Amino acid sequence: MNPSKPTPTFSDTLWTVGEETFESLAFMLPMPEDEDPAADGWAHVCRVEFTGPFGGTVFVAISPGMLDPLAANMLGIESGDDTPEGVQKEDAIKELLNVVCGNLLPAIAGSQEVFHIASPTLLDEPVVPQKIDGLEQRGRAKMTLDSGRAMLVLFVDAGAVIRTPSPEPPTRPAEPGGY
Amino acid sequence: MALNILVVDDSSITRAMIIKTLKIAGLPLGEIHQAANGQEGLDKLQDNWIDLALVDINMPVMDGEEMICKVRARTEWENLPIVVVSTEGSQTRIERLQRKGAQFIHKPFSPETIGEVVSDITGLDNEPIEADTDF
Repeated sequence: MNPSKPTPTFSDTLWTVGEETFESLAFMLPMPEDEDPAADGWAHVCRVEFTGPFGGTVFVAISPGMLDPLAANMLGIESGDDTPEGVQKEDAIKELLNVVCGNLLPAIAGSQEVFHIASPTLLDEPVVPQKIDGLEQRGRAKMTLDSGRAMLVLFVDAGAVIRTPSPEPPTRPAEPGGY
Repeated sequence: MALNILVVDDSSITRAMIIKTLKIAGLPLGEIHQAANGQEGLDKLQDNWIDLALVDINMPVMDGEEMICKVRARTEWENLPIVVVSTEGSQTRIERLQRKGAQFIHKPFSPETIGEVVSDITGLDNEPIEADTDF
């Protein structure tokens, strides 16, 4: 392990994967947002469960006004064109979460592990739970975007030991007097 | 040659994105059929002439891996070009699908990637693709 580079936390990885997904899938550029419970007021919360070497669930929450631009951007709809249909709006947040989860798991567990990712579901009540029986929260990333705010939360099996592989090959430490 | 394409994904927005991307990639498209899971995909294959199938993995009813196994078990479909379009990150699973003759595109994808992979797997003598990168 490179001692000069701290191992990223699950929240760091969640942020990175979320940032890349919003950018590449929906052309939205997230900025980090400080923790501010008073700011929570989600319009839509979506959940996806996964099983494999360890199980868990990932949530995405978005603020009011985010869903329409999210779906429109994913479909490449310019303003003035047709608007996304209702089912496409729901599918937009589900697909966003599907891509986040699919890219998050190999990032934290390695590319050799096989996971099964269930179909994402939109919650009737737009609330991300603080606690879930049998699971523990291991990561959280909040972000501000042009059209609103979003949050990603990762829960995994309580007590699960996750050995995140090193993203880089080990580097030879510099030897005193070496070139 | 215009390609008749089957897009199998449980997400309507993803099917729409894939179809739009295929168009942007400048591929010669014929009929485009859609299915929301592997079983529907098999039904579409049964009822239509398909030149290429783009298949997701994680779907309800029948997932993409099972669908591909069933396709390869049928002599009339054993050489059907199949591209898996998925968030799948497990190299183990990807290699298993590649051994069944499927190519793999990781989500999120670009029009360039779709164009290159489809041209390669279908043997299209495609003109250089000038994708609209605005999408």
